[in-house]
Amino acid sequence: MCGGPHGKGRLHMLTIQNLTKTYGGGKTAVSHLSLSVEAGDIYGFIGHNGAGKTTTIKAIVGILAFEEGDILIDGVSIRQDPLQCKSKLAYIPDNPDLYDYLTGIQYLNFIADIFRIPQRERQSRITTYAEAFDLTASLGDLISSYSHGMKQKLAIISALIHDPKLLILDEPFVGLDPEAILTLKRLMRERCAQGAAVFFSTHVLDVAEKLCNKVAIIKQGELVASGLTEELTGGKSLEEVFMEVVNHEQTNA
Amino acid sequence: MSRRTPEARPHAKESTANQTPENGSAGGPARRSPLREILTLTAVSLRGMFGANELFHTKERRKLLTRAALGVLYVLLYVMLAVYIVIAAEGLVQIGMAGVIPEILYLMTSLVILFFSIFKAGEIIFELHTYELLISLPVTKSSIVISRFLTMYVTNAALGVLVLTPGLAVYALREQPGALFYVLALVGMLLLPMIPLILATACGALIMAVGSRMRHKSLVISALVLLLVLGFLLSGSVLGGLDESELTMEVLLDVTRLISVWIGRLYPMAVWFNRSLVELDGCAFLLLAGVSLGSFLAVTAAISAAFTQICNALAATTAKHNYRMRTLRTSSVRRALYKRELKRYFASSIYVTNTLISPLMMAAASGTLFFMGWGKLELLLGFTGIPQELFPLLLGMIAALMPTTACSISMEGRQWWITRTLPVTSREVFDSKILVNLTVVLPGYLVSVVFSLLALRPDALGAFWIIALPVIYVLFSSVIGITVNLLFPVFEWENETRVVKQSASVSLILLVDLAVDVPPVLAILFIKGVSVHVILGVTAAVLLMLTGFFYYRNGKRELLDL
Repeated sequence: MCGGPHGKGRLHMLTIQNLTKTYGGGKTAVSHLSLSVEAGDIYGFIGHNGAGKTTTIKAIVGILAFEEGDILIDGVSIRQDPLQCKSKLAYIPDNPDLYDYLTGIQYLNFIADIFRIPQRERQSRITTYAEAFDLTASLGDLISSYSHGMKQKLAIISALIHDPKLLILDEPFVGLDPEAILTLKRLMRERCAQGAAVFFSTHVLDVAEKLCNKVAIIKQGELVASGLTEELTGGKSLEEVFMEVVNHEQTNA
Repeated sequence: MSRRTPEARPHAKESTANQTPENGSAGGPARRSPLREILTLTAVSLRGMFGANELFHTKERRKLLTRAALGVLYVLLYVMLAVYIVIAAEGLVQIGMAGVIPEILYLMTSLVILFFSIFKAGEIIFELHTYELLISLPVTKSSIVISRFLTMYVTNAALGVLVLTPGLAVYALREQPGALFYVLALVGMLLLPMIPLILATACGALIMAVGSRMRHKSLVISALVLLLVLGFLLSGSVLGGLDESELTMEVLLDVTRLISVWIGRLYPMAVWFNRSLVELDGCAFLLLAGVSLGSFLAVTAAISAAFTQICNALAATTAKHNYRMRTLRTSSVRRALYKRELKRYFASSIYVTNTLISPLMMAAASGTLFFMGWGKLELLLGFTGIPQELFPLLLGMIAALMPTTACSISMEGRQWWITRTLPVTSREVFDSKILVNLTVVLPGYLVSVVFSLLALRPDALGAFWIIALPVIYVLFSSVIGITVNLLFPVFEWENETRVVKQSASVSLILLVDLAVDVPPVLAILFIKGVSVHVILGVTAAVLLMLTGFFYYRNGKRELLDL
């Protein structure tokens, strides 16, 4: 597990301040949510379906506009300088709809071009990650011929090409084979050890408990618990804590 | 080399068959009757078409407003079409040719349905993703196939009724036929889409089948569709060519018969429809009903029987799994976006065929001018007495007809998240889309400029307009295409047809084209004594100003706001 105690001079890679997002129909998906992800953190974001996880993630990466609050990526507001923020982060959605009409290598090269990665570096990173995910042989094929898992692997490789400081993942383990899951976990730990941060949503509490040094629980758009995993669980399993927190909130409601 | 095909589902048929000892599976719930199944499936697909379901269930004000605006737009376009049909029908009545109105309308509507359905019939009827979802439910394969035909039938029948009604109303008002006319007209209108749909499905499937076996299948499909369309256009111009001096009253009366014979050879159904309505010929009507209904049922049954095999053959993709890392080429951000946009464009056969018509028409118009002369071109276009100096205006109008940009943002579809999370500005993204439109028009433009200069041999100013005016029009339409698509973006779609053919922005661009084309034409017709160069100059200046204004405004838009 990466990370460590709070603060102590570590950089805030992601700061969400009082985020509120209301959809056109009037439904408030996220309400006054605040949290902070520091360099070296692997931060798990958990909650029921429809709790507001994906909305929060989409607001962080600049896909969704929001009414209140602010989101800072490495100290820069996504509202004020979205380009600088986007150049520092990488995002992998829960269902990676990629450009079906490109081959895998064309897609990776396109992403590398956009992030202005020098030729030698892109060559080396693509080679390394494609081998790690056992995808090299398929890179010449059209993405339309890929399975869901292969698309997920390609999305992960494309996210790592520019060596992002902050990795945002929405349900990253869905659709991956066991070997790829292990590889992804290893890469997440490596990135954090190098001073980057990972923020991801998941329903798999077991994985979150073992992998994350910090977790946050969201319910109906509101943050109901967050902090160091060890402190939050206090000897119990994350599953038990999650059920307690959710049920407690339900009782209060 | 392995070949990945969507899983054939022989078990699906069995499981459905096992569950259907007509009254349901052993111990399971009773299955619906086939007719109810078909109607339910058809109702579900119809709900998904044109975003109707979204309109009824969305709570978002912006979407409701968009839909309302789209509704107004479609009504406006229909009113324009109806007025045109009424004027044309009234014209035929005036020259004593009322008797051919039903068959001309029947033929034209059938051709329109055929033309538009070729693009989508294959993709809608043989669409595999929804089929795989549905076949796992206790419904039969034939119900799915019939419901798909029915979905296309219902929309095309509505189109047929809308197009035929104004023309037939003119005929009915002028000729005062009996009550039977109205009954036969209504049934005939409902029979109309059947044969065009069968032909479109066959052509569409054939084109897809040929294309799917090629490496660049979308390009091959586009080329085949374009060949088909060009063949159709060419046959129209070859068959329709009559010199004005030959059009005496005597000849016109004969022309009524000539038209009937010609239509009869091309499409006998139209003549049977005409005889049913004009002569109240029962045999002709029975023939029309029998052939239409019989062919429709026979083809539907045949396709149901071989549906899975056809789907798998059409959707087959090839994967080599033999890539080895080689040296990668780097590009600038703008170049990378442009290359990606160009690949997206050529990956969609419907996108290519819908937008490549403009440069092809430019080349065809200037080619006709060069090889056949100004007189023949005037005759083909249907107007005379226009000064040759206005040819650049005509070229510009054609070039601006259907820019690729009008649906280029919507074409991003569910992959729009990629662009929005990349560190690129909206201007860089829009520029790449504009550049693709310029690239697509470029070959047609170059051909048309060369042919026009050679044919017209203009002075320096005339040559300048031939070269510059189409460029100005294309720049304008490229930028306006982005503007209208920013107003009406659609990202949630299953089929490209929804965006390329049925979206608000594509319809709106036609109205914008009309709005900018009408003023110079009116100026030419009504302002006498003003130099053509002045009219062209004012047109160019206005277009350039509008282009600059909207280009600047679009660049200020945040991708986040879409």
